[in-house]
Amino acid sequence: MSEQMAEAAPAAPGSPQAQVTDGTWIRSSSVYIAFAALVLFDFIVTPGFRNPAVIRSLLFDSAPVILIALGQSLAIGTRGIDLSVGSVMALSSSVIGITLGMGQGGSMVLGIGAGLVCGVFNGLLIAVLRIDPLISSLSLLVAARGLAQALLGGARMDLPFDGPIPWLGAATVSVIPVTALIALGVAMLFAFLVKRTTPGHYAIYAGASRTAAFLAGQPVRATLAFVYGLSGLLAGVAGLFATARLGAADPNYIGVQFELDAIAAAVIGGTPLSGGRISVVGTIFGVLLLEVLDASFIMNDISATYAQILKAAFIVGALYLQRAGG
Amino acid sequence: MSAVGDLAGAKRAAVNRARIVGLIQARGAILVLLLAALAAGLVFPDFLHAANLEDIITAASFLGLVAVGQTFVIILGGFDLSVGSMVGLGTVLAAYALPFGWVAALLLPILVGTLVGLIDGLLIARTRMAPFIVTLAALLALKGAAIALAGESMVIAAPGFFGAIANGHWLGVSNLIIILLAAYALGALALNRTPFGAAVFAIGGNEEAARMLGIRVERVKVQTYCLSGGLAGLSGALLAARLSSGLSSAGNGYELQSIAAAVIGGVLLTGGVGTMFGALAGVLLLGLINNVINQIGSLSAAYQGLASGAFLLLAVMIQAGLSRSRRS
Amino acid sequence: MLLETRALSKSFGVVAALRDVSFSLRAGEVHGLMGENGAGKSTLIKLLTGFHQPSSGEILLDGTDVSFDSPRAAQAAGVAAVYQEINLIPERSVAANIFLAREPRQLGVLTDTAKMVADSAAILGRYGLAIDPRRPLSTLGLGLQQMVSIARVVSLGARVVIMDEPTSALAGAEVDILYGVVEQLRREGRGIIYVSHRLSECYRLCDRLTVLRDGRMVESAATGDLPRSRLVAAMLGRENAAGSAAAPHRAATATAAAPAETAMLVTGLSWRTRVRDVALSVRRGEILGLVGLLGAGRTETFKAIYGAETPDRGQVEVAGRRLAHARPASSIRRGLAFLSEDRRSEGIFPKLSVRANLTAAVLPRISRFGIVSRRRQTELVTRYIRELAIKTTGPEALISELSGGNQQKVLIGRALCTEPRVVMLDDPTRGIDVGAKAEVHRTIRTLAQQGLGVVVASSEVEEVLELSDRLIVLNEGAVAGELETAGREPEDVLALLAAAAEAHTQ
Repeated sequence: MSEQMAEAAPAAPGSPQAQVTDGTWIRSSSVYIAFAALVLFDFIVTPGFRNPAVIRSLLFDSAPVILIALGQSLAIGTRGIDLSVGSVMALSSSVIGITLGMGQGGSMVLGIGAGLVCGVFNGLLIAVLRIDPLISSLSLLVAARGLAQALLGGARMDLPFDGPIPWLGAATVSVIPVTALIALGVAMLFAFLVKRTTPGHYAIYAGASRTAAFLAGQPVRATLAFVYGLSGLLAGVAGLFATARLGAADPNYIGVQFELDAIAAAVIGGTPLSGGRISVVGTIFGVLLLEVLDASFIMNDISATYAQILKAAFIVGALYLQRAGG
Repeated sequence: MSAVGDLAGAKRAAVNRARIVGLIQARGAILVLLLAALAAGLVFPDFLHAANLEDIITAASFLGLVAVGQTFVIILGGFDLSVGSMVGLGTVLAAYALPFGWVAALLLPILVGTLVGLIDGLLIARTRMAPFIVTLAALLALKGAAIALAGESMVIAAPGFFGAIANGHWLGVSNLIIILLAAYALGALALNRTPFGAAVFAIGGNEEAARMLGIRVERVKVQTYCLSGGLAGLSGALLAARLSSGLSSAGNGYELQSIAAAVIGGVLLTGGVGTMFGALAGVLLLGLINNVINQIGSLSAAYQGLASGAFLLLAVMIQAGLSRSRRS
Repeated sequence: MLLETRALSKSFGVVAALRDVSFSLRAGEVHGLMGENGAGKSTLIKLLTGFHQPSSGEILLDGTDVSFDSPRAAQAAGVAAVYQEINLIPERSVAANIFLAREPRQLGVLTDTAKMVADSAAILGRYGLAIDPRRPLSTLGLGLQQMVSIARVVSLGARVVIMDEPTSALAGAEVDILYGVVEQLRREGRGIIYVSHRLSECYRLCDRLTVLRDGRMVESAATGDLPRSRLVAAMLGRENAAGSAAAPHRAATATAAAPAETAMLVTGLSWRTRVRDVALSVRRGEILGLVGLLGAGRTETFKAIYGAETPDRGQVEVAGRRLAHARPASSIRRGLAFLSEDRRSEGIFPKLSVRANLTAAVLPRISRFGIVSRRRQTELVTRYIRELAIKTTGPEALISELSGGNQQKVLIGRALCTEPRVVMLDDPTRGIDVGAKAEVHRTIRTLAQQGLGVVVASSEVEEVLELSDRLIVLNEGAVAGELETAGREPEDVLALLAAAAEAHTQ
């Protein structure tokens, strides 16, 4: 995972991000082109696609994925990866479920907090014990899912019908869900973080050359802990959104294989696995592309498993293109 | 030059430390398994009865077969996330092939598994794509294939001899246990006593050096993934025989569990180090934990995931700690 | 003649790594190959072992023209190399390593472990190595691991054995064992090319010595006919005659004035065996030069001072204040800056812009509440692009588009952003063309004129002599001598180096 690659799209002046060379414009914009093409196709061909209910549903599903994909793009930007996000979503969900007695407001905070704790733990394993991010997040994937299941006894726990959590699961502003708006807001904050703040810059430096960053006196270990802590926090919020939408805390169902979507969205959207560059807009469109893909399959009556296969093919293809261009 | 004397002493201390670390890594899991079994036997009166022990081992045998292949792959320096779905597909293929005889029911899943391993291995070795991505894609593809072929499940009407393979006994010992032990014995032999095994260790230990020393790295990689796929297929066939049905969701989670078992058994995820019987100890330890959790009526089955996850995390942290002390 | 090269040359693009080298090796001969970094030794080895193919010239084995299209072909012909980095598998046993990829078989499929162990013991025994073949390789010291490498190569039938820095990681008794192995190889009629920077060893072991510099063979003679001083002069001799003639020798002007305060004081610094009880001091406005042969410990000394490696012992004071923690971040805070010799992997951030690279060490200073001030960043970048005359299309240009010299200027700019009191530069003109070198020299002198303490290391004696006010000679990790550069000639420094090399005995 260490290819040198000509990067895409000019980054804002001031951010350390890698710059564009003309030849890769098409490859980097491919996510936007693909998205536009797919939406066009669906508008014309797919029955029922133009129904606003469909768009609303799509956006509800996208909100949590956008959050974890953002966290993932940051981790990938440091040349790492976070495989635990799906399981952390489930853990957040379970924590919400068992703490309902403390009031929904409290549950939400605790659920998100659980995500943060997992993320920081992961970050410490990586920064202090020097465990490879792939290995530590893989272990956390198993452990967090297990804990999530154990907390609820492997069963699903339905949420009450009113309160802030169910509200989150259904509230919209015209056709756009509140959770999607929050996700968008978080994305803008995230973009600001990466482009303008020191922790964001440190992450990019660490991804470009960890040794040079260390010799330049940058706090590399703290940066890694921060990156994975943030990823966990976002996964916690994503778990809350998914739980609200589902109307239940379900540790067997929430977040399953979501890490795949997050990685796919980040990679397809132009955040290379070799680090040094993070594309927020690309990541969002990557998420939307994958969600529309899922919807296209369902609405054209093709089994969801083929969508999964195609998704996997997309990632493999995007990665292959990255390597070929390097 | 007193520095030289200090250096020699420091080196000796480091060598001894490395020796102890190596011992813990190789044999630690077996010790933990024995202690755990002893503890369980003390707490639960029925635990150490032959019937219960047989239950534990036969239940673990399907994961155990998969773990043999996974151990090879991890020592090589990769991992195979497709084995879980391959088991599921294997059960379905066995159910399909049974009308053509029990031999076909055994062979078809093995052949398909080997073929999948071949494709995985070629992609990984030739295009240098991360094993994680390639085998993950295979996981999804195989799951889709299994569901497409059999829906949720496919009942085997007349298992006959095929069923007896998995459910029968030979000389008083369950067939599955014999198969499991045979697999591990052969696996250990292949790993430790054949040029193939030596090559696997070499590539995992230092791939570039292995290449320079004349090992055909790409070929060995492909062979290893074929082995992993084939064993997963075999496990699926035996599972179908046991359950008398093809179940597309069978083996779900085996990929992570086999990795966990190997890691707990002292196989380093960074590659180049590991023992077959360590992995077996890891598999049996996981099986023991599941059994114990079942015995404790008040804890639900959901705790099994947590327990194996916690063990895995602990093992990873210990491995990292041990590697650090070895490095310094 | 066992092995011979005739007018062997190799170029990588426009860079000529090896030029017109005619080298010869007899059976039963130990031939020393010497030269500094970049002299062409590794290129020659790679050509002989089949890693690269020559651009021109011939290689002859037993008088016959040969060409090796791969390392395996060279090995099959009997030419093999043993490197500093042990290219074996540490977790496997000694016997397994010796026979890897060609294990003796039993029943066709299994490895005949007993035979493997017995054969390994036999080979090791032949060279006086009492090593249990069943031990994991990693339990042996690096020196013995290297012997195992040699044993493997010999068991593969090597007639030409190339040893690259074989004793660099050895200590004491291990070195004697290596000498014994070399003797045995010689008795067996093999030819040995012994690459080393340790003069005492080469003089003891080798029958003939060849020196490479700038890709050419500058000396080749029987050991007895080559005095040390001539050898050292050949290795570090004048490279750029025009350059050194044109540049006026630095007169001791600044030091004639009142002695400036001490900018940095290092005492009792030790790190493993590579830095041994080093003490040095730099005054404000002074340029201190660090000179030594390859392996003398220049880089390790810098890193130990800077905190990139944690020293075992010792103390560093900058502007009178002691550095409490050995960490780059602390050093920068206290005004100590360091430029690594490995620009590519330790200096620049490859995919990022000039702006990002220049300001990498001072983000906290140009940000408020964690937000980086674009304005202040631009100020810094434009200032240093101007002051250091960095040739670039602009702050947003990718650092990889800049030439080596300009990249180095960016790195110097990065150090200057931190407003240091002391700057340490490790081989700053490595891989930079002549014109840019002069510019970097100018920049370094300006730093001193502005009142900074500067420490510069280099393997080019003229360069260091020109630049510095004072010079420290390092040998095997320890300070071996010191002199004021005013009025000195390179020969004086070379003499000091040669004497230090001779005085050092294992």
